[in-house]
Amino acid sequence: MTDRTEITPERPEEDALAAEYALGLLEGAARRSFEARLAAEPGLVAAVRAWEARFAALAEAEVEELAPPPRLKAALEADLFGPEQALPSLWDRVAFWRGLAFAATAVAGVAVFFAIATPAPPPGPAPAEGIPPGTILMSHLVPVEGSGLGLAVTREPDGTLQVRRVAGGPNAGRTQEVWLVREGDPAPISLGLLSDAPLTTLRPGPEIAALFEAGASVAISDEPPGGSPTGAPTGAILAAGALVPL
Amino acid sequence: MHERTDIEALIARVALRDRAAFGALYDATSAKLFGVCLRVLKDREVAEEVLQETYVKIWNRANRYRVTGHSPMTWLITLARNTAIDRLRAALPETDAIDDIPAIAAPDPDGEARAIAADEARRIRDCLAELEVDRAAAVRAVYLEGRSYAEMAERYSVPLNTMKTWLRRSLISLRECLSR
Repeated sequence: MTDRTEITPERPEEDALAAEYALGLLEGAARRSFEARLAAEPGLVAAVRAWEARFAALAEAEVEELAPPPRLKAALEADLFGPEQALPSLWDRVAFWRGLAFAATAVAGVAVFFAIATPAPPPGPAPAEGIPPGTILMSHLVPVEGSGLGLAVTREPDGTLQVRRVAGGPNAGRTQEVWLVREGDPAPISLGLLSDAPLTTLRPGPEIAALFEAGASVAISDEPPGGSPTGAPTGAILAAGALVPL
Repeated sequence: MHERTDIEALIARVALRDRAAFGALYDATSAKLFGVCLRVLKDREVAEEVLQETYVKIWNRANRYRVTGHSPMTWLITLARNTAIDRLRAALPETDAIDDIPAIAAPDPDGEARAIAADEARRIRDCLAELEVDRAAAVRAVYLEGRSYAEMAERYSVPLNTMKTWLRRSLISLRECLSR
């Protein structure tokens, strides 16, 4: 804030009054009459704002930062956006990822249907631990109610990921991002953006491709154009499903 | 702390009801604002409540940020500090009624005000250093800890009116130094 006020050198008492107001020292009638003057005297507003800027600069320099507990942000977003829309915080909740396991069970039948409809090796017995490299994995993502999305995901032997869009598209002015989610991992890993076309082919790097072998889920989130600005999902989860070996 | 222009861009996006930007703004600034609240309120639990209240105001008033002509951190710190003071003196109405008053000048697009604000901390600290030690301490106690005249009078064992005169003189001296 610049010192736009000219009242100071000639009227130091006025400026001290503005400082007292900025400090919250004026009470009762003194405060009410000062506030009445503010509405009519722009110079006084400028004087208050100049003091606010000076004192805030002092606080910025002298008050130590202290991170608030993480639950505060979740509570705040729930307060502001309602529990349903506070979806980003879902990504932090273990219960949500447990729910994904149920979703995987629910879509097993759908996966089998796809296995029949797609020319692919017959499903062998599920390995007890880990999945051999090159195994075809697939999932029919379960849409979150209202998203209207129908997506089928296949992890091909060469490591590429094919996402078939059967129904639904991105919301106006938004884009959809594909995430790899592994149980026990603190954060989902971005696999790329979903195109509007019926087929999107994603080619994760070898490091990320290797992560699929241990069993994983894929989720789709609603994001601003260009994808999540933070590297973590920021919008609502639109669909999700666990990859199962064929 | 993030760059000033980043914070300003986030506030602009919050004004457009961008929830992701709000989350990013919270991540970038909540530690400083929590520090400010805690310094005033001394009680962690109350400071948490007030921090939450502050961010609700930020969400609701982000579209008025430009009107104040403040730098982004000044705006945020002032909101947090005034919300904390309101809690401290719960019987009184809000201290930031001034936000409802339109600015007298358009915010400068060249960032002149921001450049000056960047220098502000050094200037006020230099000028506080020119005051007598206990007077500088009193100004800090009133701003950073939200002390009232009555509390200050008790702390320094002087009559209330003496305290008022004493602090006003300190503010005038401070202002004289700042305008040099």
